[in-house]
Amino acid sequence: MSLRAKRFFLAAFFAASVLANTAAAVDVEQSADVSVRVSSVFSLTLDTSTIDFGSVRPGVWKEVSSAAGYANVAACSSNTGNPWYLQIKATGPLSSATASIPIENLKWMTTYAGSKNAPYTSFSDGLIHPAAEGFQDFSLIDQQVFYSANASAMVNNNTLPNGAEIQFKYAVFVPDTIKLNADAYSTTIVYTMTE
Amino acid sequence: MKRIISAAVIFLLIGGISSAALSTNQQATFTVSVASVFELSIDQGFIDFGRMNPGDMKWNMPPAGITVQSKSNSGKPWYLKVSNDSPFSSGSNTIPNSNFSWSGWTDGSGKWYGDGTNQVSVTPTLVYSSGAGEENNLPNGTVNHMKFKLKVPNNQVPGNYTTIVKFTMTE
Amino acid sequence: MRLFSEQNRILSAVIIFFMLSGTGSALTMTLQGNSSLDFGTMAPGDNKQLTTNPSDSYAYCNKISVVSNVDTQWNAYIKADSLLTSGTLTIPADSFQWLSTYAGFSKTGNWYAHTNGIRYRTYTGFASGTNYLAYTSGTSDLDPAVNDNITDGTEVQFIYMLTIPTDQTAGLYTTRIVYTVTQ
Repeated sequence: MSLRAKRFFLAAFFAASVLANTAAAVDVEQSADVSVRVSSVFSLTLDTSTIDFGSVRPGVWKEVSSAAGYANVAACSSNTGNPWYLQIKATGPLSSATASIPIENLKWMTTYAGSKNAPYTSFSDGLIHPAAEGFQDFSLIDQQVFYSANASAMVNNNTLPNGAEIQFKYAVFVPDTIKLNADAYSTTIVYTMTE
Repeated sequence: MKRIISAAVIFLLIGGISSAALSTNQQATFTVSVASVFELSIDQGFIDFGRMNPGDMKWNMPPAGITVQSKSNSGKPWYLKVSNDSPFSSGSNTIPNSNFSWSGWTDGSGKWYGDGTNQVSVTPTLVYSSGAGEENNLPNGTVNHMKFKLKVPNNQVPGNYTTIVKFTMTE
Repeated sequence: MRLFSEQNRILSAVIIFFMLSGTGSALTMTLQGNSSLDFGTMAPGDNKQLTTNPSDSYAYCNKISVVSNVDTQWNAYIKADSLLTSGTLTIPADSFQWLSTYAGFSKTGNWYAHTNGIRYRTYTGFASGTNYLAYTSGTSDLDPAVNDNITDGTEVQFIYMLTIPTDQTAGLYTTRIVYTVTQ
């Protein structure tokens, strides 16, 4: 073997040895997919489900409220991310066994809407009929009370964890132009929260 | 041979199925108690027969009559009665109720018990009973009009004689 | 002359080939246990651990098994590609946490614990994209620590915990956990 050939083989052997004995940096990787389904919360509660005007003389107007300035509160909880409405309606006139008071004599008003989560931000711009508009006649058809998408401070229509509250006052006028025997007259009011 | 060809028709549901909009509701009971109204009012509380001599008689007093308004929303029949707590008196002297009578008329639809000879008595006497529809006569009530006649006996002792006439509305 | 040069080149190539194939290193990792971490359905405010038995301190959710044939330190990393995400919504980093419960190795069938190689023994939140050093082989401690662990390997066990924020918007949230071993 010529000197040139020997040198060639020597160099090749040396290079191969270096390559073989140097451990290359190695990365190996595995992965796992993670998932969770956060469930929907969509609920409505009333702090009181009984509104009693007490005794009212025919021809007299009476309002129901409390020292806090409202008669009851509807609390709406949602995390669906979709806009939602609160609606209100009566199922019939104020009725006794013998007579009825037409439903338009029963009135409602929203005084305030706000978050039940600190810092208790106002959502009153979501009220369809702010307090300044005064009392609204009850109807047998759903009337919109609150729309979440109009509440500028409400993020993603989400009111969790404690919900958003809408405060109500009510009034009644007992007409003296129709024969209303002394008796208890009642009706059912339905509050509906809907997307 | 008859050949039968069957065709299977497959319906495809095209498009996405969207989740239903959520809705929930709560109910509240609203109650108002219409107050009981059972009221009686008169438009004047003093009738002065003035100066009368023994043997004199005055009737049609007061000339316009006492307006007696009865209101009720009880839904039950009601009655108007008249009485006095005692005969006309001046000290120990009296003018008997046999010399004191009532009359009048009604604006209502019920029964008027006056016949022109009705004496005032210390025992309440029927004047009027409510008619159909008057069990609840709001807002204006039922109006009756009352007048009185007094004859001073020929031997009556002088004096200022008074009596209190009472109207009673009852169910 | 030409024929000899060609023979020389071929011979060199053969020699080089055999030298390289006779002395290389090997590092392998397998993911064992749960390769899919499904927390199922959780309500806002819920808390859940992914482990085979929450009341068993020896339980775990999944583990990596690393086999190295060279005595060179290697490191195991864990990261989340992103926050748990649903569209534009995310669950905060501190809500999704992990820890290593155990690490141990075996060369000849006898297992030795090597908990001192564990870098995160308490729950730590998955900050999006942060590569956490979960385990280091061969650290000096009282246990016999090794880097090469043929044939049984070294296993590092993990458990995971998720707390849904009380105001979290509903939806299906996903991410991917990546386990990397570097030597």
